[in-house]
Amino acid sequence: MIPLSMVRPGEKVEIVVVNGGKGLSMRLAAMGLYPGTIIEVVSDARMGPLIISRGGARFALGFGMAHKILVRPIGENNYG
Amino acid sequence: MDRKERIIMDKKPTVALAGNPNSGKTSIFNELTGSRQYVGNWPGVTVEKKEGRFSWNGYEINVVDLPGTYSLTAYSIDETIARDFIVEGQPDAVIVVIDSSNLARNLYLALEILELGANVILDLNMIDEAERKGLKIDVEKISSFFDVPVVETVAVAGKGIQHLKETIIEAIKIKRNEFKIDYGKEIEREIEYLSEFLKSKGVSLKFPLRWFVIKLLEGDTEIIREAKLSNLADEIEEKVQESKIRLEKQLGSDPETSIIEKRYGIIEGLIKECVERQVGIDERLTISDKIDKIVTNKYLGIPIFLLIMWLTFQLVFKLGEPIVGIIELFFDWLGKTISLWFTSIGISEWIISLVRDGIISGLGSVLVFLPNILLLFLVISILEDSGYMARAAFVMDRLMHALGLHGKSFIPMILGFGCNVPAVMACRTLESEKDRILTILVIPLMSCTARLPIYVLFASVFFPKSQGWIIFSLYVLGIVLAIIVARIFKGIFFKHEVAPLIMELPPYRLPQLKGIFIHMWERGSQFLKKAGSIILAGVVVIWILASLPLGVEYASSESFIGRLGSILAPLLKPAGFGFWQAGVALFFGLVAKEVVIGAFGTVYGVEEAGLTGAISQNFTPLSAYSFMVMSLIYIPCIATIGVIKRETNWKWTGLAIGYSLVLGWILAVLIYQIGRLFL
Repeated sequence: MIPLSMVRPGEKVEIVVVNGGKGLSMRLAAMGLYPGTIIEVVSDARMGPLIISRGGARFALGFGMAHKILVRPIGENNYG
Repeated sequence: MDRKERIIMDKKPTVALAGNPNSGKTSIFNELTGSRQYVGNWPGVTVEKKEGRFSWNGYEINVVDLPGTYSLTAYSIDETIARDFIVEGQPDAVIVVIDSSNLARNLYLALEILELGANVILDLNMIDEAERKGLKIDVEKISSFFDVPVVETVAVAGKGIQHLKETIIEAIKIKRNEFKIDYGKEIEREIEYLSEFLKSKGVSLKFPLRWFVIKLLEGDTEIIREAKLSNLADEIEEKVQESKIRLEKQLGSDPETSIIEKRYGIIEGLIKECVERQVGIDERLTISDKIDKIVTNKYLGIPIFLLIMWLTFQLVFKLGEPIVGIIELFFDWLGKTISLWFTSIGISEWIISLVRDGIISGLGSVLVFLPNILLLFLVISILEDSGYMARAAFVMDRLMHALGLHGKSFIPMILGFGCNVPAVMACRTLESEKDRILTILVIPLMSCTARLPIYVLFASVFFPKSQGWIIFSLYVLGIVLAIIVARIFKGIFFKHEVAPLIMELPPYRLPQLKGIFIHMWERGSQFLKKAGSIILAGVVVIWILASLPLGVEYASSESFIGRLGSILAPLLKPAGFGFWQAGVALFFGLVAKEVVIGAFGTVYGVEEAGLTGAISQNFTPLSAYSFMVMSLIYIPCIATIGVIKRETNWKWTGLAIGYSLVLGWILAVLIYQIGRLFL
């Protein structure tokens, strides 16, 4: 498991757990981002926000928030 | 007609439109009611509920368009507005507008609204986009699963609207069965336990009890305060905590997650049943992604944003210029013709002066800028509709975050370029109260279209070769100041973490011509109305004060207005414009910033060289620039002050007025004094 903030663009991952504070996991869930969802990182700005896609929808996530979302790479992974 | 139907007709049934941001709610609203509400392409276009009505088969139905929300927690003001209306407004039906190409997430909100006990109609909107993505949806199955009517629509093309209307009429006659999700025996046991506890305390709620308890288990503690149970808050929280601990032991995960999983479990099961997916079609890199790769690139993002802004002002200026010239000539001709005609039919001199010097010269000097204003709104509409606005917020997030503001604050700030009033309201989409107030406080620093005439006039007189750059510099100055001021206020008033950014980025869409022109015209006609009321009143008052006391030379320093201006002039002297006319213009600019120009038109209108001539005699390029900076900053107009008060309180409103006066003056003085050393 790695934080979403460390995933490289183009990579597909599955959300495992959201270590959010009050309301964060509910907020994400309402937007369709909950444990078990498969998302793809579209682009990142180093230490800045990243764009992820989930079934056609695009979301901008702040870096701090991306750090709190733990994900598991799926498919062929190429983490060195 | 039976009795029940008659009752419905007497009461005038109300239906509410709810749905995720960008699901096409406002388009549905427009199609239903024949209204022309503005439809944007960024999350949070509707921040206030809007009302309209339609008639069908002899029924008259009220329609309320609620703000777009993802859920019904009390996370931000727009969500609270939506939820409270469903609970307290007791609409006869709630149409949940669903983006069919994003079924799972959209159904999540539908589930919450169903749990709230509303009489729901599901509207599968944008069904064409779903089809293009290769999704086939079995409407019958969805309908029978939830036991609610389901309609398919394509709102932008007006498809399915008749069917929706028929369905609404049918639905409001029926009382639906309660909708209940079975959360499994562990969670159900705790729901039961907490419900019993609340009942034993004899609480009465505006929300359904079961829904309230589920929200508590979801960790929405805000709802205790909202239910006005603060006297029981500690006790309730204690009980909820007990339940949560028990559940965590039994389920192995916290109840929030279990509840989410249960809901999505239901939705995913349903989707598996009802949706056929031809794989592969939506796998490709979409055009949106390709554009995003460039405009949100970490190195290119900010330069591209600045380039777009710069192009905007070039366009507003260059395209507007010839038309402005024509309108200028027209008012010139009008003033001369009318005064000649009035003289020839023997109308007294003072009426001629009122019409020529006061109304035509004052109002005309403002109205000539209509083309610039329309063009600016045109560009803002295109940026909004295309979906770029949300990207601008994304691109600026890192910078904004580093400076203590929220990335999302950037959208209201850009909207402030149009008019500060809706921009202040758009801050409602910010989840954190502190972020919201902070953003509201700096919005008056965004150059609204009312300030544009001041820039255009002064830039064209003093900087004819680089008008675009000069105006651009003022807009950028506004943004830079906003960021600095926010940073300072944050240090003083709001020592907190900025709420993290989560924002949906809508797909890029080709802006619809019709929508853009509606938007442009709406704003343009607002400007005309303003010209016909508040600005007109302003220039007439200035004319009267310039003509009195009786016998004084019009607009001389002995007139009332001259004396008023003379009091202010010494204050403005260090900034380079210490003459009474500037004092008067700024003083009346408080009413509306356009009046600054209107006032110059009225007091200078009589002079031989006309307005531009008079200005070039009284200002230097340097003092012209410091005057523009002063006009940018010095005080929010009355309408903006009003809306800041409404959205916050007098304390923050007072701060907004106070800091802008001080900051405007200091900056104008600094620019003039430092500039003098070099020029």
